[in-house]
Amino acid sequence: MTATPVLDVVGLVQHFAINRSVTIRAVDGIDFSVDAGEVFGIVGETGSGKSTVAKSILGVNALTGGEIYFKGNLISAKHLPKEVKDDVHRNMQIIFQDSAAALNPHMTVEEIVAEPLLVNRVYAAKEEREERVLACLAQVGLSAAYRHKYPGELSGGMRQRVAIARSIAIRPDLIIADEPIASLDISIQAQIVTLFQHLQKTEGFSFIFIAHDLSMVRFLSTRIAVMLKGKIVELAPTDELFRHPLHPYTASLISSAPVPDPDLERSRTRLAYDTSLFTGDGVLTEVADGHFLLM
Amino acid sequence: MAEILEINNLSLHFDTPEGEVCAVRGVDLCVKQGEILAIVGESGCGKTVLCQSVMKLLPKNARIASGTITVDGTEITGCSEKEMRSLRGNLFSMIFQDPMTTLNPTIPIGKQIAEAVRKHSNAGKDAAKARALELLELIGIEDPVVRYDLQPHFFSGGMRQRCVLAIALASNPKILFADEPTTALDVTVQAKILDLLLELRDKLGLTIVFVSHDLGVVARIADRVAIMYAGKIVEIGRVDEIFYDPRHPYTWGLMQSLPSLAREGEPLHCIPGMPPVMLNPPEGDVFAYRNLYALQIDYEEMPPFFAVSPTHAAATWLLDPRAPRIPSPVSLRRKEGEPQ
Ligand SMILES: Nc1ncnc2c1ncn2[C@@H]1O[C@H](COP(=O)(O)OP(=O)(O)OP(=O)(O)O)[C@@H](O)[C@H]1O
Ligand SMILES: Nc1ncnc2c1ncn2[C@@H]1O[C@H](COP(=O)(O)OP(=O)(O)OP(=O)(O)O)[C@@H](O)[C@H]1O
Ligand SMILES: [Mg+2]
Ligand SMILES: [Mg+2]
Repeated sequence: MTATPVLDVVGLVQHFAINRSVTIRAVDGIDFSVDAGEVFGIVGETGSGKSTVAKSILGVNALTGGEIYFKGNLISAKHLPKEVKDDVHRNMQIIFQDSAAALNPHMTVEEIVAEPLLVNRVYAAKEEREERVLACLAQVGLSAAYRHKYPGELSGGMRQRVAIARSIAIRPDLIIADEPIASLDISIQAQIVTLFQHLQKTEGFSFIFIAHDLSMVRFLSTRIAVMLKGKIVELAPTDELFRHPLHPYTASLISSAPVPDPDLERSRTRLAYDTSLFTGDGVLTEVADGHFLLM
Repeated sequence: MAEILEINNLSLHFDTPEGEVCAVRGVDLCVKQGEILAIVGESGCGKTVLCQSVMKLLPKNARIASGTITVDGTEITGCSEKEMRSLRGNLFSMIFQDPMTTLNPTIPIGKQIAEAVRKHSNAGKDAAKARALELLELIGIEDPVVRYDLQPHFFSGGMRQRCVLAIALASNPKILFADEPTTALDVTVQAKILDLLLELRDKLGLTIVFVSHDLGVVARIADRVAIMYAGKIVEIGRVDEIFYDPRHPYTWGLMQSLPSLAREGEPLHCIPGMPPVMLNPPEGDVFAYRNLYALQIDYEEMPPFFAVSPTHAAATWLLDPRAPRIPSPVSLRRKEGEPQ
C-alpha cells in the first residue's frame, strides 16, 4: 500500500520503573500501522500491554523508545507544531475500557457529547451542533429523552454509549477503542459493533479495536495483531489469522475462545501454551503475504 | 443433591424520586449444592440486584417487597446485619462486577488478600501471607512475590479481576456469587479461571451463581441457565435445553446477537429497542414491545410459566396450546459439527 497510513507505530517501547530493581516492560518494541478506513484489531493476554499501546499513542506517557506518526506527522516528540497538536486533538479519539466512569458527573449527556464540538469550534450555529449531538445519540441508540440526564442517572452500558457518541461526534480520522464493549451486554454489543461497522463504511473512520472477545474482533477487524508480554507475536489479515494461526500463542487463543455451544464447548480440546516459556526474542518477519510472525 | 439456595417469589423495589422501581419481580429459583447456575440477561435486568439481595448487600433505598430466601436451610430475609456478616464470611461470598469497588486503591494487593484470609480464619500474619501468595499463584498471577507489594493501579484490568477472585476465595465460601467475573479477561486466562471454578466445584462442592452476558462462557461452565428480563426469569432450563431448544423469543434474540452464530457477510441481529425502566411496568408481558412474535394477549396478560420438560420452562404465550406454532429462528443445532 502506498497511501500514507493513518497511524504508524515504529519500535514503540514503554517501560515503567517500579523501583530500582523492578521495571515492568509493558511494551517492548512493537511496530504496526493502520491504514485509512481499516479496523485494526489488537488481542492478547491480560497485561500484555494493549492498553499501554493505546495510552502511548495518545501521549499519556513519555515513550521509553520509538516513534508514532499520525497521518505522516511525528506525534511522539515533546514539542509539536500547533497544527499537528490540534490535528491529533481533533482527529484521534479514544474510548477507554472505563470511559463510562470517566464522564464528567456534572455535565448532562448533551453537554458531554457537544463538548468536543465546542472546543474544536466545529459548528458555528447552535442548532447545527444540537442536531449533530442528537444524531450521534441516536446512532448509539439513545433517544433525545436522555439529553438532559446526568451520567449518574444512567446504567453502565448507557454511559459507555454516551462515551462512544462523544468520540464520534467530531468525525475523527481514527478511533482507538480499548475494550469499548466489554461492559455491555450482548444485544447492545451487537448494536455498537454494527454501529462501528456502519461508521467505518459510511464515514471511513479508521479504528483500533482492542478486545478480549475474539468473535467480535473477528467480526469487525480487517487485520489483527496478537500481543504477548509487550510484543506483537503475530499480525495478519483476519481470515488468514483464524485459518492459519502460526504462533502457538495465537493458536491457544483461538482454541480458548468460548463458543456458545455447550456440547462443542465441553468436548473441544484447548491448545495450551505456557507463556512462561516465551522469551520475546526474534523479529516480526513476513512469512506470507501480509502475515507476520515473531521468529 | 440438596437445595442450598431457595428463592421464593422474591420482589425487590427501589425507592427513587421518580417513584418505585421494580428491579426484581416475583423470582422463584432453586440452586442445588455443587451446581453452577448461570444468570443471563441484558443490562439492567436485575442480575446484580438479585445476587445482592441474597448477600443482603443492597443499596439503602432497596426494599424487599415480598418473598423468602432460604440458604442452607436458614431463612435469611429476617436476619440482622450481624448474623449476615457471619453468613457472608462462612457461607457465601461475591465477586463484584467492578473490581475497583472491592479493591482499595491505596493498599498493596497482597495485603488486601491476606486481610481477607485473616478476617475469615484465625490464621496468623505469616500464615495469612503464605495463603495469600498461594491464592495469587492459584489465580495465575506471575511473580506473586513481587506483585504482592504493589497497589492495584500497577495491575492491568484483568489482573485486578483475578485478585478480586482471590479475595472472594479467601474465606472458603460454600456459595460463590460471581458477577461477570471474567468479562475483563482474555480468553486464555478466562479459560483458566473457568477451569479453576469448575475444579473448585468438583473438589470442594462449591455452588456457583454465575452472572454473565457471555453465552460462550455460559455454555462452558453452567449446569443450568436462567434467562432474566426486566426483573423476571423468563426461561430456565438445563444448559443444553437453553442452547439447543430455546423457547422464549427473548432467548432467541440474545442468541441471534452473537457474532459466532451470524452468517458470513450478514449483519448482526439486534433486539429492537431497549429494556424498559421498571418504574411503571405495563400490563401484560413487558417484553411484548420488543418482541417480533408478540401476540395480542402479550399486551394484556403476563404469561405464566409453561413447562417444556421437567427441567425446562419458559414464560411466553407462544407455548400456550392455542398459540400459533413458531419455529425457533436460532440456527444452533445439537452436534452440528464444528463451525470451522
Ligand atoms: N502506569 C503504570 N505503572 C506501572 N506499570 C504499569 C502502568 N500501566 C501499566 N502497567 C503494567 O504494564 C503491563 C501492561 O498493562 P496494560 O494495562 O497495558 O495491559 P493490557 O494488555 O491492557 O491488559 P488487560 O487486557 O488486562 O486490560 C502490566 O503488567 C501493568 O501492570
Ligand atoms: N440504587 C438504586 N436505585 C434505583 N434503582 C436502582 C439502584 N440500583 C439498581 N437499580 C435499578 O435496578 C435495575 C437492576 O439493576 P442491576 O444492577 O441488577 O442490573 P444488571 O442486570 O446487573 O445489569 P448489568 O448487566 O448492567 O450489570 C436497573 O434497572 C437499575 O437501574
Ligand atoms: Mg487493558
Ligand atoms: Mg450487574
